[in-house]
Amino acid sequence: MTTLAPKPAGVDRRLLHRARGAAVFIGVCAALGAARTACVVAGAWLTASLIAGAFAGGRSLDSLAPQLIALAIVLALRALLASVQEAAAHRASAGVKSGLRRQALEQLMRLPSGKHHTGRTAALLVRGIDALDGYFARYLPQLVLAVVVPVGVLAVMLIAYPPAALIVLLTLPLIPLFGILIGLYTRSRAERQWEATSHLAHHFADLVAGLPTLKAFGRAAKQAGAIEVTTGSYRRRSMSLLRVAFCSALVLELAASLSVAVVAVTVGVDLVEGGLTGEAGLKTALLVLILAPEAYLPLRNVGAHYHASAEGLAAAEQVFAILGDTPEHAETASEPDTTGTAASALARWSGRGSTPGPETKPGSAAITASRTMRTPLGRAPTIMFRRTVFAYPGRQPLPELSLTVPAGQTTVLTARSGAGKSTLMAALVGFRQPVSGSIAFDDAELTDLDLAAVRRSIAWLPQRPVLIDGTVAENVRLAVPDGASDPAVAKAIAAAHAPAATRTVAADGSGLSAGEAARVGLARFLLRVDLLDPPVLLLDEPTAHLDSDTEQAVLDSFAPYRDQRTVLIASHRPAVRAIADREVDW
Amino acid sequence: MSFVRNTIALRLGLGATLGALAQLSALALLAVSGYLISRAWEQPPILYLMVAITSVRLFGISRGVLRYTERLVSHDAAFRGLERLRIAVWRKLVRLAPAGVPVWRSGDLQARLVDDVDGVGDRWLRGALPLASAVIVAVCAVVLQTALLPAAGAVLAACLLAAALAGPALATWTSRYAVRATASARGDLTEGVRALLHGREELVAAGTDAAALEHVLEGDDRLRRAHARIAWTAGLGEAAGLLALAAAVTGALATGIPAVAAGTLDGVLLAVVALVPLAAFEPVLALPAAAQQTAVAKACGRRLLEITQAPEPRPDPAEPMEYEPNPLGGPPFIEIKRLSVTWPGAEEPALHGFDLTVQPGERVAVMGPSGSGKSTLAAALMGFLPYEGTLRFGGVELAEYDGDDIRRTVGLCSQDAHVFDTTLAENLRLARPGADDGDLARALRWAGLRDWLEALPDGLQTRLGEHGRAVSGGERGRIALARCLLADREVLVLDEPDAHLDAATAERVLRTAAAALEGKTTIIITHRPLPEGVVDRVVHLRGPVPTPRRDAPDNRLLGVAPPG
Repeated sequence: MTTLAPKPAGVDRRLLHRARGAAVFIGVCAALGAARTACVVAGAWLTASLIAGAFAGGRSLDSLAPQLIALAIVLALRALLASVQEAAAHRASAGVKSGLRRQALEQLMRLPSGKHHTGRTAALLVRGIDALDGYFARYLPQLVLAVVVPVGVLAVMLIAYPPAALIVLLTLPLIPLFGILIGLYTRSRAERQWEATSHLAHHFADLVAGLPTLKAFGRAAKQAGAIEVTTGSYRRRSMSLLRVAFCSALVLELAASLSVAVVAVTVGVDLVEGGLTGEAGLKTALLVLILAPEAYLPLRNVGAHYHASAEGLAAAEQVFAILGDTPEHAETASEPDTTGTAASALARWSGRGSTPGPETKPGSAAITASRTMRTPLGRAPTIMFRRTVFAYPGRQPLPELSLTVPAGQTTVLTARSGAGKSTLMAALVGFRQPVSGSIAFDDAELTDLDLAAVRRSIAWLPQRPVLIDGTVAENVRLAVPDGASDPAVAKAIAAAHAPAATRTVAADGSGLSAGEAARVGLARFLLRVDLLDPPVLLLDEPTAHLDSDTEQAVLDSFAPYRDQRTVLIASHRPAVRAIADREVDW
Repeated sequence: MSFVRNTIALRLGLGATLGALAQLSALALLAVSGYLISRAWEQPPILYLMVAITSVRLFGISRGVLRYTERLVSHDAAFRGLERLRIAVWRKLVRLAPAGVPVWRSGDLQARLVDDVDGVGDRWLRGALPLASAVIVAVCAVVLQTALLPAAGAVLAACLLAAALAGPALATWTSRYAVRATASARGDLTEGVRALLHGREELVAAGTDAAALEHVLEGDDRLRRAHARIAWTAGLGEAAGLLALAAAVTGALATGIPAVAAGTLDGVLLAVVALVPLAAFEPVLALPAAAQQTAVAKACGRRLLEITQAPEPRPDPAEPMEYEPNPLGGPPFIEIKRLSVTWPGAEEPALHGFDLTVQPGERVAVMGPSGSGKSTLAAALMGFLPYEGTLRFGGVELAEYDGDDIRRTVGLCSQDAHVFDTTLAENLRLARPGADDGDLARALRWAGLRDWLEALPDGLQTRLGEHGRAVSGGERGRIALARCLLADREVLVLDEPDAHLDAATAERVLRTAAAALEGKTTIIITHRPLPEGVVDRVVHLRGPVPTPRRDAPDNRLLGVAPPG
């Protein structure tokens, strides 16, 4: 369906700047465009001279045969050039899209969660960016042609017959002028309409996701009426906008066909009045007649592909907004250099003076970091929350909390639902910052520590562990950055009572029951503990979806892992509370 | 309905006609211009040319105006058609939910509803309409050319036919595989990106965000390769059309020039014969793109068909019994004997040989381990699934009743209840549209959410974010419970109502809810013991016992643990 351009499309500098290879592609387009222009002019000249030769010159087919063969060759060459251009455009487009997708995803992984709506962002990164095909494969080459072809054609017309060139020269600028004026006039409305389109899409997705709930309450059938009203008003608004937006196309078509008509009449009258005579005169007249529409054709194609490109450009605009976002502040500090500071922070944390000197190379510092990571095993830290207050925007802040998690023990948080247990865990891995108060590992404030190092010494099992497309084994492997051996994975899977390693999982969790998905997350967690030997373990409702037998089995296999580690579990289950050294409620 | 569809077809037909007329204007403009110039070269009195001059100007204007009208008419028709289609798909989904859609993949379904419906719209606008105008223009051009010079007409017809067949065929033939590949690659990639964004914090904390990112981007690579394949076919299609045009122009001149020499064609008309192919090919050259669009749209249409033709899991009876399970009012008497329930597509029943009798107003807990068919029982009681055995309300088999009637009596508070992306009030009010704010607040209080509600800055008007993301798991469950209490059904099935609650909150909530449900029948499905006094009695569901098939070895004899 036609979607409306939020703003007049052009050569988007950022898009070309971001996309390696795009500039080369424009160069290729221009070269191909010049060659195509030459073919167009040569074809028109040969056609005109053939007609004039036969009609005015009275020549036979035999004497005109060389020109006819030349015409065939020129036109075939034009076909070849067009096909090369098309293929090149699609290839360039595919590359640019992949690059953009990667950049956006990499950036999104640095941005705080919840800042961008996941469903809408996923649609933007796949469907939205795919729509850039319209821009790269169709719009951009035509835009280049729209510059190259009219210039070439006009130059030839100017030499052959200046009055016709003048007509084209006067009408041609009207097209972009009106296009811009109408674009400006409809711009804000078009932007709103674009938003309405994505809103409509989200509304549907929400309704479909909740359809079982709607049906349970007998509201599903009635919703059809609501959809009718929503889409109906969407259509009426779209149409009222299109009535104006299509005017730019109207101006274009009118300018193109009327000027051809005017050229034809002008040339015709000149022929009658004797301004142009003889075979050469007719040839000139026919040449300008054939060339005149060619001057407008690329512009008309630009117009035709304009709407196709708008959707992609609007998506690109949103992607640029994501790329321009500031990353999560905690991570910006750590990500650029996770090396030197990591080691020193860790040294402070473990309380040992093994801080590498400033002269140590960054690479070796990183290795030291991971080595020191293994040493504090005997020294699992005490975790302290001192008068911390967490707040979510638009909510009342959670009550102030002071809490000590003793070193080397298992603490179970049994506070009521919504008391902020998950928030505490997320804060320990640096995804939530308290608005007041502080968090400390032993004597080191979390804010003074290097976050990357902190994260490396923690194994965290969130409430809903992430699943990716692939096998259970691939999912479990996401435990550690540098991969794991098959036996290690198998061991973790067995310990967590997770489904078979070769079972396939979809990213949305289909293929596994909620309990099985939970156990895949648990296997990943145990693998991390096995391989990285982290001194701190955080488990958020690890057995919520398990029946009591499985729960007990899982807790039994978990028992050896708790030794000598600071373990924090959020759970209300009696079986989990039974393994606690200490229970905390607030 | 058929009337509406007809008006849409009429609108689309009008659009096609207007589009063809616009293209014919272009053809006429070029043909008459060629004639005008040739005739003018003979220097007749200018009066002889007045008709030609006027027509040239007329065609110059008509083309733009016709094209503008065509666009408005056809877009309006497409919008209207899509409206109908979307609602038809929704209606079908309503009948299928929740058991009839094999995989309720939200991302995929979103793609289906939005993309596929739009894809079908593209099929009309960018597939069918260009084809219709191309055919009309091509036929008119061939007729005109044949009238002028039969041989040129034959050449034009052959070239147009070749272009119209070869171009689109090339375009669709080779790209078919790629089109299919992109559809599934897109779905996978969307799901992957979604999972990546949802699980970002976990992945970043584990340091595996980069690895997961690369894994998801493999899907992008598949998509890129598929697109590259489409690229060459698009180029081929384009070349085929232009080659045919080259043949048509050369052929027109090759037949026209000897005809002028032989006197069978007036020299004045040679320009017309040479120029007609140029205009006639314009719509035909657009056909490969139209064909590709159609191919993409066909895949969309096929996936929509998968939905619209999926069998209903539990079709309503043709002549449903009048629904009066308890003539005295109040909850019905529920009688379940040897109940077996199988999910569509599954080979084994998820619930097998289950017996239960529930007196009106009784509170029963059905307890069993994961996978013992507890949620299946709930779905059967809601009339979502077909069953074997006996499942009677007030002595009448549930299968005899209309599903919507059943659900007016039975409510389900499930683990996966959806929290809609709207205000808290609207989320609750879907259970009882007429409820006032006092009713809503009372229901929330019963569900143990009084403190939570009071802490909300906007109270009942607080928006619950995407999929209720701003609420915790426990809150989501209790909102669902409040919704069920508000609906005030005679029979309420609570599926794991305490899944995300601590023991104290769970007990408090269950006791308040039990008090609020006094006099109603309540069936609580759970996998762990409930607090004392919440239910009148507890029924145990056996774990899944694999029934050995006669042709399969008995797993238990081989010492293999049963699944689950």
